[in-house]
Amino acid sequence: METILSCFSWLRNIALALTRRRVPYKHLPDEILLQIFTKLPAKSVIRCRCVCQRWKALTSTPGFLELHQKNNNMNRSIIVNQWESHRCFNRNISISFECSSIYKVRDESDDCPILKSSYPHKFLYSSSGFLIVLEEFPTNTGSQHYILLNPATGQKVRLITPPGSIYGIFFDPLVKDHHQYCVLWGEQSSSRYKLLVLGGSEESQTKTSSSRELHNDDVVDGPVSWQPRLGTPPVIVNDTLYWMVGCRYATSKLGTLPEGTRLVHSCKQSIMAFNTQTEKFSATSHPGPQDQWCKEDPKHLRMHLLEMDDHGILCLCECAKLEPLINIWIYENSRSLWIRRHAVNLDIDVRHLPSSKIRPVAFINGEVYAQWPIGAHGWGGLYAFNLMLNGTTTKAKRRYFDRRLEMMREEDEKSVIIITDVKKALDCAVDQQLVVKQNLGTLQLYIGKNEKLWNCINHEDCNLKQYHKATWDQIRKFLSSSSGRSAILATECRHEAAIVIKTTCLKELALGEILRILYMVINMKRWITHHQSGWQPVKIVLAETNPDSGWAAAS
Amino acid sequence: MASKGNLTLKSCNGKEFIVEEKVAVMSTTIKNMVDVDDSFAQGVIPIIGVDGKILAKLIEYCKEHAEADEDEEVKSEEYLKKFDEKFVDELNLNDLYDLLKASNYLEITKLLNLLCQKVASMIKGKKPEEIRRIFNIKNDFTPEEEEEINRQNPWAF
Repeated sequence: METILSCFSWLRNIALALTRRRVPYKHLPDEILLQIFTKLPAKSVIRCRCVCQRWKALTSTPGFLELHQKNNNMNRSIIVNQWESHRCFNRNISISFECSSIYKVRDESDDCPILKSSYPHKFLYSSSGFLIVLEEFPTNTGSQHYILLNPATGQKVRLITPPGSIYGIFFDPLVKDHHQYCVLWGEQSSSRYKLLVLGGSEESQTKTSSSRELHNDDVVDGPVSWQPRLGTPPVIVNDTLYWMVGCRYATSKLGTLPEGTRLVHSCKQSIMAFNTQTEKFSATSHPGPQDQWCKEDPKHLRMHLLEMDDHGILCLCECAKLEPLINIWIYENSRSLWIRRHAVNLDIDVRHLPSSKIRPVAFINGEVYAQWPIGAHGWGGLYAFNLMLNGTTTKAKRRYFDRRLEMMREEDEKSVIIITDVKKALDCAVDQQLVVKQNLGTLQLYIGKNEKLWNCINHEDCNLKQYHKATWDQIRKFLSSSSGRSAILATECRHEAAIVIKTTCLKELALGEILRILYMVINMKRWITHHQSGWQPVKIVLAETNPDSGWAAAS
Repeated sequence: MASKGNLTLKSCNGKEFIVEEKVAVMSTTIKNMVDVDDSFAQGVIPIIGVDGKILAKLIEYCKEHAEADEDEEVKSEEYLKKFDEKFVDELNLNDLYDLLKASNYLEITKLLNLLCQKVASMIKGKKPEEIRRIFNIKNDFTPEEEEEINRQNPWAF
C-alpha cells in the first residue's frame, strides 16, 4: 500500500514539477486565487479583472462577489476623525485599514489621501455606507458644498446645494440598483424636501434622473422645521429613513418666531420618518414619559437613533441624566410602540464620564459603542459595552464589561463616525458604472470624468442680472480670445472648464459661482454649445476676435 | 520508524522528516489520516506533490505555531506575528506558489490565510501591468476588450 502511494506521488510530482517551471501562475488552483481575491479591496479586484481572461472570469461571477462581500472585513468599520473645536482642519484625509474592521482617518502625512480639499471640512455622519462631509466652501450665495465619500473606494461625489441639509442617502428601493442612490435634501427655511437621484446606469437615466419635490402634507400640527438634529445622524432601517428632529424652528404657522428662538419639539413628533418606498413622511413620538413640550428637561437631546446590528430593528438609546445608564428601546412596527429591551449599567465613574454626554454611535456584534468627549483628565473616548442579548433584561442590574478601544487613547479631541454599512457602499462600488451627465429637473448634476467628481448645482434662480456687466464682458473677451478658446476647447468636462475660467479669467469668484455663470453662458447667453450627453465636443459660438492680438487686446 | 507521539512525513522526493504529532496535525489532512487509520501513526506518511524543501518550510511554520498554541507564555502573539512576517518575506515567488498549493492540499488553514494575505498585499495598489509583471502573467486581452473594462470602471484606475 505504502509503496504504491509513494510511487504514484513520485510520478505526479514529476508532472507537477515540469509544468510548474514554465508558467507558474497558471497552476495556482482557482480556489486559492479566489481566496486571494476575496482579501482584496474592491478597487484592486477591478484591477485584477484587467490582468488576464482567467482572472477576469474568476472575479466576475455573482458567487465571487457574494464571497468577497462576506469575507471582506470592510463591512463594519470605524472612522476616526480628528476635530478641533468641532471643525476639522485636516486638508487631506485618507482612510486606511488599521486592524480588523477599523479604518482610521489619518492626517496629510499619508501619501494617498482620499479626500483632498483646500477648505476645512466637517465630517457629518455616515449614511448607507457613505460618509457625508460638509466642505466649508466660501460662496456669496450661501450655497453649500457637500462631499459624499465612499470609503471603500475613495470615490467621491460633490453636491452643491442651496442652504439646507442632507437628511440621508439611500439606494433607490424600487430599482434595487446600486448604480444609483438617492439623497433626501431639505431646505432650511421650510418643510420642503427634494429627492436628488445621483448616478444611474444609462438605461435608467431617462426614468429617474430628476429631482422631485416632496411635501410632508401628512405631518401637520405645529411650527416645525423637521430638520435632523446635529450630532445624531439619521438611520435607515427597512427602507425607512428616521431622524431625531432638531429643536430650532425656522418658520411657524403661528407667525414668524423671533430670531434665535429656541424651542424644543413636541414629544409626539420628535422622530421623523421617510419611507423611501412610498415616499411618505410620518412622525413618531419618542419612548418614555412625554410632556407636551419637553421644556425643562429636553430628553430629546440625550436620545440617539441606531440600528440594532443588522436585524432591521430601529432602536433608540436614551442616556440617563445623572446615573450611568443607557436605556435601549426598540420600535415595534406592527404596534407602533417603543419597548424597552435593555438597561445598560455602564459601571463607570459619572464624575469623569457624565452619562448625559454619551453619544452611542453603533451596535456592532452585540456591543453598543458609545463615545464621550474627552475631558481634562484624559477620560473619555470610545467605549464598547456588551449587551448580552438574552431577551428582556429590564431593570436587571447586570455588570457589563466594557473596553476602551485602543485607538482612542492618545489624541485629545476626536469624534467618531462608525460606518456600519460600508458593505452597501462596496456593493455599489463593485458594480458602479461611469455616469456622464444627469439632468435633475431644475437641478443639474455634472460629472467630471477624469476627476471622478460629480457636481450638482442648483440653477433654480439663475438670473443674468445677478452678475455685473463687467463680469459678462470679461467672459465674452475670454471666450473670444484665442488662448481662452483653446483652453476651453481642451477641457474634458464642465467642471474643468469652470476651473479654467477661475484660474485665468474670474479669479475673484468662487468655483460654485463660476459653475453657475457657466450654466448661464451655455443656456442663456448661448456662447458655448456642448454635446448633450456630456461635454465634449464643445463649440464656442462667439466669433474669435483677433487671433493675433490675444484676449488682452480684444477690448 | 518514529517513536511514540512522533510521525514520519515523507516528501515526494524521498526526504523523511520526523515531527511531533501535535505539529503534524496542524494539517487537517494529516489529522484526518491519523484519526481514521492508526497505521499511519506508526508508519511513514507520504506527502504527495510536496518536495523536501517545501515540506521543511511547512514543518518550520507548523512547529512554531503548534508550540505557541500549547504555551502562550513562551511564544506570545507578538512573537508569532513577527515570525509570520519574516516567514513570508523570505519566500520567493516559486516557493510562495508551492507553499500555497501545499498548504491548500494539506489544509493548514492558518498558513493558507497568511500566504493568501501575502499575495493579496502584492496585488494591492498595483496597476494591472505591474501585477502581470510581478506574477509573470501574459496579457491575453485584445486592446478593445481592455478598453471596455477601463471604460466600465474608470474609478478603479
